[in-house]
Amino acid sequence: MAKNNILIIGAESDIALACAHQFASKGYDITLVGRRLEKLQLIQRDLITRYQTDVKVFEFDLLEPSSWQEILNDSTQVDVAISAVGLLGEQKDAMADFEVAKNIIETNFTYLTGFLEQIANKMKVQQTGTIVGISSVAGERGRGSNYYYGSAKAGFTAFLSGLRNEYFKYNVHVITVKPGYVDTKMTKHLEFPKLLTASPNDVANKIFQAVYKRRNTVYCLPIWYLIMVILKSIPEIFFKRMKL
Amino acid sequence: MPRISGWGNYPSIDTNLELFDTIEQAKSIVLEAPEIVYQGNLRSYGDSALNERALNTRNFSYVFDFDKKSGILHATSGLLIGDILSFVVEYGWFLAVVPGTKLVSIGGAIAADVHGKNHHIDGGFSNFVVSFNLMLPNGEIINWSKHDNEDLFYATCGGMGLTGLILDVVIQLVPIDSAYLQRKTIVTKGLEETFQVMEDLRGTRFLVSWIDTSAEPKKIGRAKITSAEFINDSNYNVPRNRAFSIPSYLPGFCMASQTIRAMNACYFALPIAREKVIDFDRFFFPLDAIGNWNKVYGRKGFIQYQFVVPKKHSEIAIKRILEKLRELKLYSFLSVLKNTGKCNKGWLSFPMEGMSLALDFQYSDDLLPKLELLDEIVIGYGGRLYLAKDCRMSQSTFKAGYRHYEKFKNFRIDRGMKARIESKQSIRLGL
Ligand SMILES: Cc1cc2nc3c(=O)[nH]c(=O)nc-3n(C[C@H](O)[C@H](O)[C@H](O)COP(=O)(O)OP(=O)(O)OC[C@H]3O[C@@H](n4cnc5c(N)ncnc54)[C@H](O)[C@@H]3O)c2cc1C
Ligand SMILES: NC(=O)c1ccc[n+]([C@@H]2O[C@H](COP(=O)([O-])OP(=O)(O)OC[C@H]3O[C@@H](n4cnc5c(N)ncnc54)[C@H](OP(=O)(O)O)[C@@H]3O)[C@@H](O)[C@H]2O)c1
Repeated sequence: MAKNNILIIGAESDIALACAHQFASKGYDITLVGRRLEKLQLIQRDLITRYQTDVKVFEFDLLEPSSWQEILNDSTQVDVAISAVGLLGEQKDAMADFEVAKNIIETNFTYLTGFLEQIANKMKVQQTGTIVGISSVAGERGRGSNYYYGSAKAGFTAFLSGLRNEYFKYNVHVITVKPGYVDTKMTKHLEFPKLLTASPNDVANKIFQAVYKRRNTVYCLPIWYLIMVILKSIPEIFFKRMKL
Repeated sequence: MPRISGWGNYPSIDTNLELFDTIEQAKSIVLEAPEIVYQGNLRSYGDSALNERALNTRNFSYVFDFDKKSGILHATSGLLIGDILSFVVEYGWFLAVVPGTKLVSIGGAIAADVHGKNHHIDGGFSNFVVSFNLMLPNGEIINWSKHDNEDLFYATCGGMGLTGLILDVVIQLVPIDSAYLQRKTIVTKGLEETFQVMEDLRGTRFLVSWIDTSAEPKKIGRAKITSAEFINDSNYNVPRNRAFSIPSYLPGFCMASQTIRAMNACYFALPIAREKVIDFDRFFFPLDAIGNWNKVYGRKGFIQYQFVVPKKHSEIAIKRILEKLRELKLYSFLSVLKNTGKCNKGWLSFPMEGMSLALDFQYSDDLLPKLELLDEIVIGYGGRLYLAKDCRMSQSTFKAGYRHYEKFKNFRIDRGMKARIESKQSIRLGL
């Protein structure tokens, strides 16, 4: 029996790496896609040594669509595709400099959605596939401290929900992941309450289960669902005065 | 900025945390930082991996090669011992030396030259290191392999990360015929018997005892002594043991002295299986089954006090320590007593032939002066304290225990390591 293959986009991300280990240990062949070939090759060698699985790597910069083609043309069936690409960026810089704002929005939304549409199309032709998009609870309600990142993620969440709806009829499933706080290199300079913080491995476990159970939206720690219900229910006249 | 502490949650400091996942990234951080500490998985208890600026290896975690025939493993320093075991055991290999938690990085294991329950037979972790690459503060990478550059090796193994950043390591694994061990447990009535049994069992590969430091004077030093050997049933399948986690700090009073005495009493009253076959995970790493167990000591944290004393004085020294604990009303839950074998040549390596005792004390302001009284006893008998557990010993206590102190310090000065690589501990100890 042919092994299942998973395509991991933004494979150098801490969460993506944990996913690669999780799926490789369950017998998946892996295709790693990211912008730093040196790191991808280190991961490749590691996965092959530990799990004796097939691992391919592609160098790709999301913001350079010319680098997409090779991946889209690759003949391997894509059973699962996970997108971990994301850019938190500096809110203050984004407010001062349109180029910074643009980069945050383009990375988290414009180019990412463009690329995932093509992957969905590929899966439509295959007549099977699951796309996992890592979005964020930051997209649930815009806050002063990160509304560029947050609004791009809000757009991404809406995109994933639309994609799920549109491709349902082609047997292509879409999962939206909202991790809450995760202790990764993206957030290394922040101090998070431990109780609300997941590890990349926790997230990878959740994603693996979500793929099997064909879940639609998952929060990594259930408490985040509750927090978001509360955050969303605060009337705007109070919300706008809060320091968030 | 995250506030970071070692496993004891004391002390903690606001840290400018740096991560890297390639050698190039490591080099640029090492070169630019005026003063930095290297950090593994923060399973040292005190301040040996702490400073205002830290370079953590957790993202530099890769397996390069593993030869199933010879048991030679090549991997980077951020890889955890648990990650290694999770894939080598099924091929019949094991790490020769493992500490009491598998959540320790290879870099941390070398830097502290960690010891296991088999130190009296196999020695420390660094005995099984075949070669490594070390990045000096000037960015230069030195390859060390057996029989060359002895000074560098003896300074680095046990050198608490103060000689450079350990990048990747080749280690020799040891063959096993099963993932299971035959464990024997003996309960003793007092210290004298504990020592006798520990001595009688010195020939067994894995040997450790949990001693009761809070029993009434007659029973003090009673222990559960556990000895074990791997069996040979060729069964390498181990069920994944699910970890239960302490989600948050418990209130400090949970580990008050009465609780500890009660817990020790319960532990010794529990019925035991005298002989049992048990998987390696549960034998070597029972504490890992409770994630964040360090939080039971409350927000202020705790201090682990581990010392070793030479064989010829070990019984009297430990007796004096136990008496002192009683006098000072210091209580420790499940204190670990181990036989230690000959010291190796690591300049700051902790073990020496004799006995080591590890005690846990909840932090409080009056704890520190009390520990100094224990130091006097340890030093008086020619012993020393373990750097990987320490956050408070004085320079004089340190110098009394580690005779290669000057040599180590001069080595650091000569090689441009001093002032570039510093931990809170190295500054305190004048290393
Ligand atoms: C429950 C528990 C049980 C334990 N049992 C034992 C035991 O039985 N025997 C024993 O010997 N120890 C034991 N320890 C202590 C532990 O093994 C050591 O403290 C070990 O050094 C921790 O490794 P780490 O990866 O967490 O490193 P950290 O705690 O992050 O760092 C420890 C030291 O290693 C240095 N370091 C880490 N990585 C590198 C690197 N890549 N290059 C250079 N320097 C580096 C740091 O600078 C620091 O000085 C135990 C600890 C716990 C929490
Ligand atoms: N950490 C959290 O608390 C948290 C919370 C909610 C959601 N998330 C989301 O989880 C996902 C994974 O993040 P993480 O926490 O694992 O952080 P991360 O390690 O910083 O991952 C982000 C990844 O995106 C890649 N990337 C950025 N721009 C790219 C581009 N133009 N082309 C190709 N790759 C690009 C980065 O590549 P480089 O490695 O080369 O920089 C990096 O690997 C992200 O979508 C993030 O928004 C994280």
